[in-house]
Amino acid sequence: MTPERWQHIKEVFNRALAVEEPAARQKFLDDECADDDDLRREVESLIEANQNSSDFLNQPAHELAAELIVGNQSVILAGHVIDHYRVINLLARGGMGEVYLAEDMRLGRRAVLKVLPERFTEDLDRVRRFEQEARAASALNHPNIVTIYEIGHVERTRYIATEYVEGENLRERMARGTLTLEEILNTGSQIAAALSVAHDAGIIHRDIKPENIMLRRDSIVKLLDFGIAKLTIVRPFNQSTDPEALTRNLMKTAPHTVVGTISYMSPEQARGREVDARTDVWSLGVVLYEMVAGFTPFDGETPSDMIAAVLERHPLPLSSVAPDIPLEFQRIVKRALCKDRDERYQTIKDFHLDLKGLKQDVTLDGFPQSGEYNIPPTLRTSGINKRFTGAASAAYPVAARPHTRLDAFMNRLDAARAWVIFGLVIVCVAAGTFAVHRFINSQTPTLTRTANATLVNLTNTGNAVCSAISPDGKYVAHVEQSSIGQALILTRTPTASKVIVVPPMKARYRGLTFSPDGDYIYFVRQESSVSGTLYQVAMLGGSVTKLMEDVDSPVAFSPDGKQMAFVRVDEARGQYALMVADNNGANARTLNVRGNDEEFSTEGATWTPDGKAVICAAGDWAGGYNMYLLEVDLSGTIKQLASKKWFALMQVAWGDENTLLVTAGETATSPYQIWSIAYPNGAAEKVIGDLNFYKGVSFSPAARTILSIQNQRITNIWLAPGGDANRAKQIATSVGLSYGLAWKHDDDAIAISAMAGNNLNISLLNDKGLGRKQLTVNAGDNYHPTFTYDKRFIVFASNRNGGFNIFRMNAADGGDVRQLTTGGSDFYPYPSPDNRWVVYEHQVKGKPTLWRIPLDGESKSGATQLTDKYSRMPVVSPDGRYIVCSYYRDENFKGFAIIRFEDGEPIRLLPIPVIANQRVRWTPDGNGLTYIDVRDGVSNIWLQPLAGDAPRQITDFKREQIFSYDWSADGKNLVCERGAELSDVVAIKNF
Amino acid sequence: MDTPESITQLLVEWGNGDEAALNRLMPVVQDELRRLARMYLRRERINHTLQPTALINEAYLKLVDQNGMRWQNRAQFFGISAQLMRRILVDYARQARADKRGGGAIAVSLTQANSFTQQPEADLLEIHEALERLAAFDPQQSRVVELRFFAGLTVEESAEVIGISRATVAREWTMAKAWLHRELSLSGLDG
Repeated sequence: MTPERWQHIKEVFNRALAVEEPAARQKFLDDECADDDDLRREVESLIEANQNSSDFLNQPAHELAAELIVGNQSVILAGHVIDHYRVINLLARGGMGEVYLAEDMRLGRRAVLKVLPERFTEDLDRVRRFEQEARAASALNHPNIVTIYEIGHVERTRYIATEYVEGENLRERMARGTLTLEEILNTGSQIAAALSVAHDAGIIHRDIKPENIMLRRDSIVKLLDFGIAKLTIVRPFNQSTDPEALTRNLMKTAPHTVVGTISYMSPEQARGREVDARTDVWSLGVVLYEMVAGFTPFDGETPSDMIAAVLERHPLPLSSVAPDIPLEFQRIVKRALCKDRDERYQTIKDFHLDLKGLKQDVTLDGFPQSGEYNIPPTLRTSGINKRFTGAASAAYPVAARPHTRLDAFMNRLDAARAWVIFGLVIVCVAAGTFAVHRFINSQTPTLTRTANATLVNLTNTGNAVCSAISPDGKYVAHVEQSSIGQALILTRTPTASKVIVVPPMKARYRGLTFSPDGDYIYFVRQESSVSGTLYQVAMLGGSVTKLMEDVDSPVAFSPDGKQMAFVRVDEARGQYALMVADNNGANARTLNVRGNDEEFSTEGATWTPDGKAVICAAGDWAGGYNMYLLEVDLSGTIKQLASKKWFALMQVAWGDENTLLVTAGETATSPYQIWSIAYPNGAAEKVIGDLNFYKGVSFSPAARTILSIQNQRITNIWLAPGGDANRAKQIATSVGLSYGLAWKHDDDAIAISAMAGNNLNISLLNDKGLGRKQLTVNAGDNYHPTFTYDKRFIVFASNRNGGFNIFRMNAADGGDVRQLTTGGSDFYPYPSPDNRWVVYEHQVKGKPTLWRIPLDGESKSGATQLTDKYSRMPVVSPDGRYIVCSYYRDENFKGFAIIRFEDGEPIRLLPIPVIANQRVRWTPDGNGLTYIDVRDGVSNIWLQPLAGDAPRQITDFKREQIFSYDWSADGKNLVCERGAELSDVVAIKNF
Repeated sequence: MDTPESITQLLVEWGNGDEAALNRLMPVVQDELRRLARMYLRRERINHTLQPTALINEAYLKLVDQNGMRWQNRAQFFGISAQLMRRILVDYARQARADKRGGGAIAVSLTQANSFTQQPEADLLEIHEALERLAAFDPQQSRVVELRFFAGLTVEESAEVIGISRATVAREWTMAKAWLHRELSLSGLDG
């Protein structure tokens, strides 16, 4: 290429680009390159390249190389191999260097790889001292100490490989919310236990702080980074007591680590003196204080202020920030935080003993203190002495050695029952003991107060599935979801001691019920089939007895305990039967059957106190969906109870005297809450007035306590370039319900349906989360927005005129609203690419099928039915030829199907998991489908290529769920609504 | 090590063609680059949208602010720094590619991220090499890429450095990207 020739090409290229209209550009090139084919080829190929290069080089080189530059050493990216470790991803980066999750290829296990920055490894003497200490630490073998696998190096890269602990660190845990005293003592004493082993071996940690304390979901606490502090925290040279001078020295010697650590440094450490084991006592004291107060005891705006606080100031008394905290706890922390180390706990063992003692006191409070263990009759007569299935509970982690009186009692049982004890070992560390204990004693608990009622969390894992309280109020049963499945756990409320009644397994629990005598728990579990199976288990564990199949609701016992009522669903025929059977499952008989447009709630019924009738929630589609309470007597006669109209009535329980307790939602968007309904006049009153959802209701008359599961959802809108979780940015926050979002084609506008005021409204925002503009106002609830391909309209479902119908409005300003359908139960509209049709889901008597209607809203031709099988949530393919929808063919197939747009004929069934309210999305090229799958509680988006390859995971989010998402029209960017749903068992009193 | 005066001196000397001055300059600019890269990563992490603040502008302001330096010619400083930055970045890219642990490259995506297909990518080093070829017949266009991509300058700043109009910079940038894109896509096919 000569410069002259290039200049000529450049000139033609630039002028051609200025001509936008394709035909005119062709003409221009025809004229310009009439006799020069080479020139034309060159310019045309550059124009083509130009069309593909709009995003090319739009990020400056130093940003692309930033990791490399900052890393100051060789690149370590996913897939790279260091020694025999293959890097999976970066976990953290800090003054200590980078921390990676890696796979040990030799041993096939996961490991954490800490790669030290070169600035630490240049000083060979220091490296040697560090390695010596790390090696010593690696010899420590304790369940609360993260195991060091090896200390190695490749060329100049030095690394430490340690055990990978799945969970969150204490800093993250504290950010989520206040810890219970139980959690605090549990964490503190496990750390103390770890330190006492280390101190015995002559190893001081030196850097105890929340970031170095990992909490596993099973309450096991692990201490990280033994000995590493020696490498990073360097003694200042002079022995000054002037904070300014000390700060200068600290900052100079360890600029990258010091700031985050000062708050936890002992005075002797801050002064640069030689430290001993008592420095760890101090730092643990700081951590304990912070867990209670939510802030560190010695704080300051600047490092020198912080050092001054550590050296000179007294912390704010804990009693002033946490009045409920026991005096003993305050005494322990105060002793750990004595500035003169001679006045502190002299050994971590003493510290540990005091923490343990307090923990036992708290746990045992409410238990008889005299010599003979006064075990309640329910414990004695329960299934402990029956045979054991030997089901492995070992998979469920064990928290600590038994040391409560209940454990002592259990230990007396013969060794064959060891697995029961395994379960009971969890006993002493049960989270929430403190709160429960205070609650039962009607003192001032740490709780949420609503108008009248008081509410106490009994679990805090966020993973409760369903729950029930025993009639005497002394026990709570709940199902806990974990990564290995669902487990049935029994909690004795006065002590919060816990027993695993049924170890975790892959199954879905549908409901729990205590037998009226309190000896058994009845539970309905859905295993491989669609319908549930009823089991009975003795309260403290033992053999699980299968009683009946095809039970689709929790059972409700008659007052005499001899009969139970439940609902059985015949999915194929769409029939709901309210049934009664003997308490052993025999003599099952139907009281009443509802079908077609009528159903019974499957959340659980109750009996009238005289035992003559069953009260169950029921609903129908006459005039939109409504629910009410039906009283069905034992001859099957039905009576509708007076009550207001409900959009949803879930479980019903008999309260005391003449009230019923229900979980119910007034409208489609109101959260399901606990209401009391007077029997028989129907006066309804909310028991709890907050914005959370509640699932299930059971009642103990003896303790006057309602038990339920509180569900909180907190979501954020994220934008992820290329679906890359690592580059995802949070652009907006959404509080409360939301129903779908959509990305405008070739534009940065995102439409979202979310709570605004008291209704679901559709708003626009841009891809920075800014410029929020609400399109629907005072027009009912508005769901499932989708842009039409020509970008002119948004189609959506709304109940603004009663019933749910499909509407369209102008995409720009929400104007020119037109109602397209009048079906009354129409949802999930999706436009065709030719802008002529809207496909949607229409429910007839509760059965959804797919229909289509012209988009223009004017055509005479009405709605056309596309499918007759159960089909939901249609999404039209980019070429307009197919529709993908949730599809229920028969017992054997429930998933998604691709059907023909023309005639609704299914051409392909896809084993894509069906997740509530989740539409599948086509890839822009139409060659694949993306969908959400939830594994171990974490949602990610998967791609199912239509060519028949195996599905592959596209996003790599490590936490939270995805509630809705959409791709930009070119498939390059992902917008999604992610968040966490936390479900915990709550007890409600004084209502 | 270097006093502000010596940095100034070195820059001027190297600007006058003294290659030895460059070797003494490198570590200084390298430190600056590291600081800015760190700043970039920090912003990325706390989810701040990075404003298109030119890297060298920051370096310039920092030198002016902190060392009280007065640059007779801001454009000259930009120009020299851009060349330096390119050299340093190319060094990093070489180091990454040579890395024995394999796979090392500073990847530059040829299409924007698309989650459904395998990403065609080029290496920073390949861009540098292609740019050298471009410089053989169009030094100005190559210079625009150096300023915009390697030094992170805006169109306006690039125009100031080269002393041409903004519109010209924009046109050169468009064509250079198209040419580089074609060049790298083709080499990807060959390779």
